[in-house]
Amino acid sequence: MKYTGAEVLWECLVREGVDVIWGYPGGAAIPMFDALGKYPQIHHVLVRHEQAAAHAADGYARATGKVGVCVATSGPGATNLVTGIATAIMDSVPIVALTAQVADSVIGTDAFQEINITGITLPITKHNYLVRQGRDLARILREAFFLARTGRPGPVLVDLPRDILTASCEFHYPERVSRPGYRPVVRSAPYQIQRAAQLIADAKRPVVLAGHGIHVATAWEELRLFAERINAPVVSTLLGLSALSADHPLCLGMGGMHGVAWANLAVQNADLLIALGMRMDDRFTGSLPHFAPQAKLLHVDIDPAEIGKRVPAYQPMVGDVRFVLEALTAALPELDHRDWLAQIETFRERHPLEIHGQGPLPPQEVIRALYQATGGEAVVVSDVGQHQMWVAQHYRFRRLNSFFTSGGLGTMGYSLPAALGVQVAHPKEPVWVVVGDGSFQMNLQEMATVAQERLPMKIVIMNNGYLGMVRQWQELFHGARYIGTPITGPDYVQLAASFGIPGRRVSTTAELPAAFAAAREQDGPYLLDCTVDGDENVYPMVRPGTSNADFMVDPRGRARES
Amino acid sequence: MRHVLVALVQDEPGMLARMGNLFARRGYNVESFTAGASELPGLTRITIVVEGQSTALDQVAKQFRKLIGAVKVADVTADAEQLAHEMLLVKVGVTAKTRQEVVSLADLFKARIVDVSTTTLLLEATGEPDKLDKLLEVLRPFGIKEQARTGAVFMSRGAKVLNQRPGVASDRKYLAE
Repeated sequence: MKYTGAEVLWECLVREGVDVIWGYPGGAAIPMFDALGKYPQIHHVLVRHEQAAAHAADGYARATGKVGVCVATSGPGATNLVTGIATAIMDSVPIVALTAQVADSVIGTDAFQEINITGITLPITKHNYLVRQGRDLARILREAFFLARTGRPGPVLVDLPRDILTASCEFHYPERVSRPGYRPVVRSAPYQIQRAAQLIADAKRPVVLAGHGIHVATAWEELRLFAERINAPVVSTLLGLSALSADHPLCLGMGGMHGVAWANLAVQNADLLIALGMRMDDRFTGSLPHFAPQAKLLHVDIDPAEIGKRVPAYQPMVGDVRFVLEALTAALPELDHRDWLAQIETFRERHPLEIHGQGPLPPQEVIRALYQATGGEAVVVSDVGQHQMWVAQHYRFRRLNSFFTSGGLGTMGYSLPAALGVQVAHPKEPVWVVVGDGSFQMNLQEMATVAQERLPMKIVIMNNGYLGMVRQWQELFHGARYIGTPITGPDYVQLAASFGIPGRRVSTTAELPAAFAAAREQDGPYLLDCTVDGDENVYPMVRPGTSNADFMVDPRGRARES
Repeated sequence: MRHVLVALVQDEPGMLARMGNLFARRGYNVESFTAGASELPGLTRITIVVEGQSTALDQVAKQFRKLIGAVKVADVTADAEQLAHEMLLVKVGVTAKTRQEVVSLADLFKARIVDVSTTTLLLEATGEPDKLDKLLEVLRPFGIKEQARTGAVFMSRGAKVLNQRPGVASDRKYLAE
């Protein structure tokens, strides 16, 4: 039987188990959408800007571990995906981006809505393809999904010329992928396991560093068993939050620039760091010469290029972190580090995480109220900025893989569109979007998608009238010259109402419990516009270029201590 | 320090751009880059000579190895058994008086004379890049009108072949089983 190229495309997606895609049609994409009508098993969500399609696919992929799919037309449709694709590669998220392209016969002539999207996305995709022959289509799609989800996951883009979508071609979906040279190392060598186990057994002050790789490898249980076996504390990166329940006695929370003090002090005083699926990002390590000066580094990653990239590894281990943790746990006896853990408790007692704001609504109180309202069991999608750090510090994630945010690229505008995908992964319960007023205004058009799809997500705006994180840097490091950071906005409650989304404004701490209860009890989407104090800073904070042990603390707290 | 990477890559569109992007991103000065068919169908053999710090180059080699379509990447800088050969075409200005002298120099360097005009000789020479440098040096006084070099290609002496090497030298310890 003959298929059109567009039919081959959807046949391939059906075989990959795709049942939802996010996209936006356009001239070159019409044949693609036309054929989609014959595939009711694939639900197309119409976003309001292609960037949102990429973020939604990303959110879906992070929440399910499956490949997320976004679709755009040629030219501006394709270029609008770029920020979303870049977000996905920085955080190792498997998405497949399908872009329509002008007809093969006119490629290279600057035709209407023609852009070289494979060229543009070359540095931000794991791999990309321009399909030149209908007969290659099925093989390329098979490879695209395979590459996106295997090894270190990442985005793959497939550019589909219009005439290939309309021409008829044979369809044969290859069973196997043949990519010579592509062989991700999953199982580390036994001698590496032995050496690593010895290092761990010899350590006096070990700290486990849990990165995004724990989620990617679905190694939550293995992480817990490993940490318990060696009786070592676990510090998370931003994306490693919710890899271990915050209630677990070994869970210290997040380290790094805005990490909690006791987590950073644990890392700085450690004699062994067991880094699991994390890439020693600068926001985590702080100044490299000062980073964990007494520690040997045991670095586990599936990507050999991450090992030794920023911090030399004493013992490198390439492999899937789940396999490595299983093997290490099996190779090690029960260890006891109670003195070390007690020492970390003294760090916690000396530098607790407190709220010092005296205004009507300190922003941290909003996060604590969210925690109270959801018992730490919510699925949270946060945007980028101060509110993101407050979530990381004050929300205690008790549920595994329940926190989604743009870490590496730090993409403002990520949360609302990403939640479109996360909500599909968790259809039975609300997804909570925590977003600053600056970030919200970058992609607030997606409220229309929320309304059209009747998604029950709750949107919590931390509205401080500033691009708060930049304002904080201006205050601390640039003479408090607030240039370009004050920001106005619409009446968000009215705006949401005009999209058909109810909501209310909150401006005092006392109103929070009732407001969150109202949001929670609403069947559909709901928006809380929280007018928070605009001059709050995120503390602790490590001044750029200094040691993570020399964090700045809230001056109001210091005044009270003395 | 000068590094030599030898690679086998799948012959497909965009591969050249991907490799170029790798080196450009880190600001490496690529001295020479050669590409041509290998003994394996569908695989192109690449030789890259690049200037850079060893640690940073190690990272580039690892990133290179990650490119989909890179089948084998080896840093052969430290391989003493390595043969490096390059080809040179050089057009030298001559007069009736100097022509014979250039011919004897060419002879000395085992260069072939591939074209003759009343005012020029076109020489073709192959060999180690150093030898070609020397040839150019002795020809310079006669007037070099034009020169083109291919950049060196590398191959191990003895029986070992690239396709059986265990990847990037520094990655060797990472390869499992």
